[in-house]
Amino acid sequence: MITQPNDIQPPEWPLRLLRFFLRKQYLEEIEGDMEECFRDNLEQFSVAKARRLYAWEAVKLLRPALLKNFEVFRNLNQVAMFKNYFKISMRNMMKSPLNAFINVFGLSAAIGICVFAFAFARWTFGRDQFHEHKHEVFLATFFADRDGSVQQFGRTPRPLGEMLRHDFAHIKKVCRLDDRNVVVKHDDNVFHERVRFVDPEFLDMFTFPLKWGTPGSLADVNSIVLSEEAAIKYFGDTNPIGQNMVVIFGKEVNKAFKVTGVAAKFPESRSFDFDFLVNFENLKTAEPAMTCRIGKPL
Amino acid sequence: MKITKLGEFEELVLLTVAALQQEAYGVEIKRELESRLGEKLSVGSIQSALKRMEEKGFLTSEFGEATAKRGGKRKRIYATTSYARKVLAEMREVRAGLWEAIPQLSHDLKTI
Repeated sequence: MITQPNDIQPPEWPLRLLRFFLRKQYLEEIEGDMEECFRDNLEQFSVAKARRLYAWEAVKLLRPALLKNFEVFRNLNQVAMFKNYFKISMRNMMKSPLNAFINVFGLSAAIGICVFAFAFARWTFGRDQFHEHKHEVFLATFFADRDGSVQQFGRTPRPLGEMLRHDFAHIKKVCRLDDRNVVVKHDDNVFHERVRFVDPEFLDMFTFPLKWGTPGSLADVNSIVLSEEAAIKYFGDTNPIGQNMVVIFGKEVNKAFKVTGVAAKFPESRSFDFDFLVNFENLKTAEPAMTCRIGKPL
Repeated sequence: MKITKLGEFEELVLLTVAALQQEAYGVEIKRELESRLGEKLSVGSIQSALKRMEEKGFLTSEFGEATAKRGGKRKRIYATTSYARKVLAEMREVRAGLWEAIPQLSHDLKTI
């Protein structure tokens, strides 16, 4: 029981709230009522609860009947005019509902299509624009004659890369690229993944922004670069640089890699990305038979 | 009887004001209604009902005395107008008439 209730004061801010929002002529009465209720509550409840109730009562006092007329609403004397406009247009439309429907529906459909076309164009033309060297990178293709019709293919023989690099002086950088389905393991996290084998120039030609690490680290055959998604999958939100990951290429063929880079979240509008990047040389580890069949080292 | 635009809650508050006579100010009305209805009411609901009815001409008010419990703020004592008393009496009659119009038979059947 509180002996001297007058020592305990209600919180300040609800009063400021009321003084700002409520009409001047009501303030004295309402503040008095609030204070009296607060004293009543003090006899029943704890001080903290009485204060809480006081604040809640203040919030509940913000009702249209008690609020000030603010300038904003008083200046809106065009309200009647706009109401009239809407009423007249509704009446005119209702005179011939079918015509009105065709017009309104047609216009809204047209605007919708325009917005869609704009969004689609922006998405399409904005694709892959984050690559710094987007105008200097080309995909080598070949044309094949298939039963009389010429078709273009995006995959070229593997030695072509080396040949382009050595025989054409104006080609600055060449990047070969190949994918393999493997199992990637870190501690207890073991998943089937698709690893991308690339030449070290990959991150120089395609400037995927990196969150951690450096693009040059791909030159090391023992390093692996992850996408942000893969990094979160295996390491959570921690920085995985320097951690070991074991890539199981096939039966009894596996290799330990060190994480040297994590890509930042890929931009939405992109035509290709990666989960894991390793040096192209690792294809020799992955498939020892491959080099023999081609006859000379890659 | 024309439409008087008196809501259910407003009618309750108005009746309380009429019953409390000289003691009819915000908190007292709230206490009285709370004890009769058996539920908590907010200061805001009472106040907005009072202000609305004052605007409609059901109530008049004047400042009363200040007490220490109110932090030195004056009370506002409400009183019903003759128009309000007339409307209340009319509504009571309408209700009573309707109650009498309910056939006794249906009442009996329900209690079986």
